[in-house]
Amino acid sequence: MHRCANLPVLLLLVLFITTCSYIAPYNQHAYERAIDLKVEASDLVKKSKEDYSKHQERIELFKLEMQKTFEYVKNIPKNDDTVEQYKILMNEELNSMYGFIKFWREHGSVSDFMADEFSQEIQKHFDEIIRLELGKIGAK
Amino acid sequence: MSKFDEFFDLLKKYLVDEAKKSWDDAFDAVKNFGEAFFHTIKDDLDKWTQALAEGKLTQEELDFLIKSKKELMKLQLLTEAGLTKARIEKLQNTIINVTVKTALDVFK
Repeated sequence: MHRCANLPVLLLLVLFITTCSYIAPYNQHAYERAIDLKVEASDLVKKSKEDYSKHQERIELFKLEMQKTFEYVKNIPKNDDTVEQYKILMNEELNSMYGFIKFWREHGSVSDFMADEFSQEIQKHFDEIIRLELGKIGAK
Repeated sequence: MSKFDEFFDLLKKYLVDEAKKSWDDAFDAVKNFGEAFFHTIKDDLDKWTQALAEGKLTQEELDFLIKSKKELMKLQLLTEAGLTKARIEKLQNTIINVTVKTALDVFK
């Protein structure tokens, strides 16, 4: 009888636990956008051995695509970690994508070695966004 | 042993096993992350400082590359934080499935 009295409590507890949500579910569009942006960013960085002004239009287009994706992921509930990741990539004062664009703009161009190395590094930055999105598979 | 005792004992056993497995996975992920990160930094630093010495890289560029590792670490920590939340959600799904399955097994 004592155990019977515990059953509703247990069921309520299970119901409470299972209805709490901590992270957004996997989003195919967000995943595909991150892949596209990674490829574009890596290729753009490789061009930084050339003069910034020559690629200004493409850079602006890239930034527009980043902004669109940021707005998309920002409006997904419980997506704080992904949003914070995009903020790092898009902050000119940090040493990620937008910081690199600023560096490129201020220096006109960068060395071949720098362009090739950072092209690989920026892929790792985007890979973290992709890895997190994939990790959401199986969550509610 | 009553049906309820059997139910609670089985449920406890399953949930403890699942929680332990989830914790082990999370622990391994953090451990692997730390080891891989420091290994990568060491290799890159060797390559970059050599490029600086050979004049292939400027001091400012080296500075930027090294600091970019700090941003990479922040990104990785955010990934790990998100993955931990995803693991909790998956554990929740397991809890409900195990509870229902155990109840059906015991009370059917």
